[in-house]
Amino acid sequence: MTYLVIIDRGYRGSAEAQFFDALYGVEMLGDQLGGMDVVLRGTSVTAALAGAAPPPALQVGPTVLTTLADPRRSVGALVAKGAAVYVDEPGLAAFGLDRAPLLPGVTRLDTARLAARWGDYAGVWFL
Amino acid sequence: MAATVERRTWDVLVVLTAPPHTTDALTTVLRLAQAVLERERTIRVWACGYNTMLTQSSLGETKPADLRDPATPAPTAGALIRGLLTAYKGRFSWIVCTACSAERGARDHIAEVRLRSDARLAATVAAAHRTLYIGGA
Repeated sequence: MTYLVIIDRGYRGSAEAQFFDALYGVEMLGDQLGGMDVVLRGTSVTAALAGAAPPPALQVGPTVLTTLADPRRSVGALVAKGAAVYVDEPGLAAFGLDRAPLLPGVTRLDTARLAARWGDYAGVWFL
Repeated sequence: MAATVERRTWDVLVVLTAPPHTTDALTTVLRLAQAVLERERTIRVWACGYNTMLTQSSLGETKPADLRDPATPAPTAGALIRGLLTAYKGRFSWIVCTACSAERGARDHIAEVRLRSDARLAATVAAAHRTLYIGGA
């Protein structure tokens, strides 16, 4: 039975977190728990946008950081694994992104409506 | 007439209380520091609150492995800070607030950082031409 994971907030640190972002946790835990469907809300809706360039390298002193998180790559990987990924329509609209193209396999909807289906999941986690 | 001591001044002081792993504030501060240093200016960061956890020696040079790509190491925030301190010696400084640090049990820091009591904050502000306070602790 699948879990439903709700991510309300993106951008929880870059230089200190790097690859170790919330979606990394979903990728790692989903495999162990029999699958996770993902809901992107708030600032995390931008992880579902198509056409964005990869994260730029970050120069800090002598180091060029190339291990920063790439949320769009993570979303693509989750879709490839068969996870349902939902992106919140009001969340997109709040950033003027209501017409923005999304990554393949991502579903756009008012994710509050998913509450009616919470009982179908093994658990609902607010990440 | 009493002798006076010429105190060193810094172009920019950043007081960073916004906690890491919550927003991109730390990344912004590192980028700002890099930009200031590339312009041949001086900058110091006063790390408050949970930012005092970042420079603990126990965190080492690299983060835990990315299990999707374990062969590619990712540096810790402490290693990045040490890199700036080494590359821009004398023009960059990272001050760890001892009160915040002790409150969180972070007692063993990398040697390159400076430890300073919060009783010295006003003097540190006075030694900077510009102070940016980035709050949110």
